[in-house]
Amino acid sequence: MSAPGTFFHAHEEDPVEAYQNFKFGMWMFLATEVLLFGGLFAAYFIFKYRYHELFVKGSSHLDWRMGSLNTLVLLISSYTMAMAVDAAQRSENQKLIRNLLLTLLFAATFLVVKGFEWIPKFNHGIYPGTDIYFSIYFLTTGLHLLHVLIGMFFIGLLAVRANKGRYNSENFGGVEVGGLYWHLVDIIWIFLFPLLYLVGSV
Amino acid sequence: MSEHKMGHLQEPSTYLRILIYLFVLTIVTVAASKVHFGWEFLNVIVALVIAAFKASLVIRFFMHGKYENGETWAFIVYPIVLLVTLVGFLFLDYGFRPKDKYVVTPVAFDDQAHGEHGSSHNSTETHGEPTNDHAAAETPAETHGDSSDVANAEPAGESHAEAPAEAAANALPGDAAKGLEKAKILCIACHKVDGAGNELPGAPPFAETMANPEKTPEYLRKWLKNPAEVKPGTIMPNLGLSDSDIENLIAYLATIKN
Ligand code: HEC
Repeated sequence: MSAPGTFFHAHEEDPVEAYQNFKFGMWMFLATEVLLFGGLFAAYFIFKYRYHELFVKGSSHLDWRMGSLNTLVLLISSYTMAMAVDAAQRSENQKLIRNLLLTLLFAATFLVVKGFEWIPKFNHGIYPGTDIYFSIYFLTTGLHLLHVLIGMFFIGLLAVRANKGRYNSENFGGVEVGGLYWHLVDIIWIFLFPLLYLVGSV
Repeated sequence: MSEHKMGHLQEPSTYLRILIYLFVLTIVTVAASKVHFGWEFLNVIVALVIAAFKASLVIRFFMHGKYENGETWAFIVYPIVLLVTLVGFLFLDYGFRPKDKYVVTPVAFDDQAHGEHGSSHNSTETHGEPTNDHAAAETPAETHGDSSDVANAEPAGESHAEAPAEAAANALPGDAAKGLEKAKILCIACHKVDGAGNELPGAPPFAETMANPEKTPEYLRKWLKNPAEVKPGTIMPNLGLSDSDIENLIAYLATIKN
């Protein structure tokens, strides 16, 4: 009954149970992710008020328009991911593949915009370690970027598997769990964006 | 394996509706950040509240959290509770600590303190030794919490007594080329440097400042050392410049004058 090539195979679990456990495992992992970034948010607040003028100076180097653009890009990618899960649930394979590829495209757009933000900073001699503001900035956005890359890898994997006809209304746990991860990447950015780009200096 | 147990179907239009809400909330976030609420923490709190609301939309609709069971919600709620507690107590500390107990440099809270707390700053700032060449003032990190470093601005009356030394003070030992280089890194976010960069509303163009005969090198030295000493409540931050950086910047600024 269980889908070949997934974790469940070895256990011969009931597919519904396997599906639910798979999702629950992802939710538990996401809780640890929230705490990981939570520590960084706490560091952000501590240093923000401790070295306020560095935050005023540092955040004046960020362009809120770039941050807003990337926020919208990630929100759209979350939407296409949700539509991918929906398509899988309805056994609409072409739509599933199309939405996964769109999600990948928006993720790549996010990377390009990030590049346009980071590279001029490097050219201006601004690096992680330039001061505490930029250490926090590069650490939080960098760790987020790493999540984007990991998410892109899994979405790519889903697209390949979808192309082989793996997913349907009876078996879409993989897509849904990948979606959960991708939405978390979006949620982290929903918080990072205002903290870094909008209220970094207040 | 009824469909009921294998996840829930939502109307596809729901996803689009949520996306539109998220867009609108993003615009609201940006707009709210441009408003001055008086109490500056409010800007941060508003931003966080809107972000939390956006996140809840993503969780409930995009992530199908609406349909999840209690165990899953326990794992959604517990990290959030921990986080809100952590950040909340940080705010309680920073937001309600008496202003003169801050361990930060004056500039940080002059924005909000303005008139009412200005006097308490002065009392802590001026009783230190009135030396200008305090080597420890190299980096901003080192100036924090050490009240003697903040004291490099002399008590107001003293600067007039220096008339004979003024000529020497106005000599420019700095390297203008190095100053330009620094300015391109440090000032460009708020002042145009060499025609490039941003002009923050309220930040005067360098040419305008240098056309003003009152802005002597001696004045600029004090200004760049710590703008808030000269003008409490100014937006220009203390950039933590070293003495040699300051000399180079002043030499560069002097080239603009001509
Ligand atoms: C975060 C933004 C910001 C940065 C960075 C910044 N400034 Fe300013 N600067 C301002 C603002 C705002 C004013 C207007 C201050 C006022 O009148 O309260 C100002 C004013 C000045 C003045 C005029 C002071 C006077 O009394 O007329 C000079 C000179 C100056 N800045 C030099 C510099 C130099 C040099 C740098 C780089 C080393 C720099 N600024 C970096 C925001 C900034």
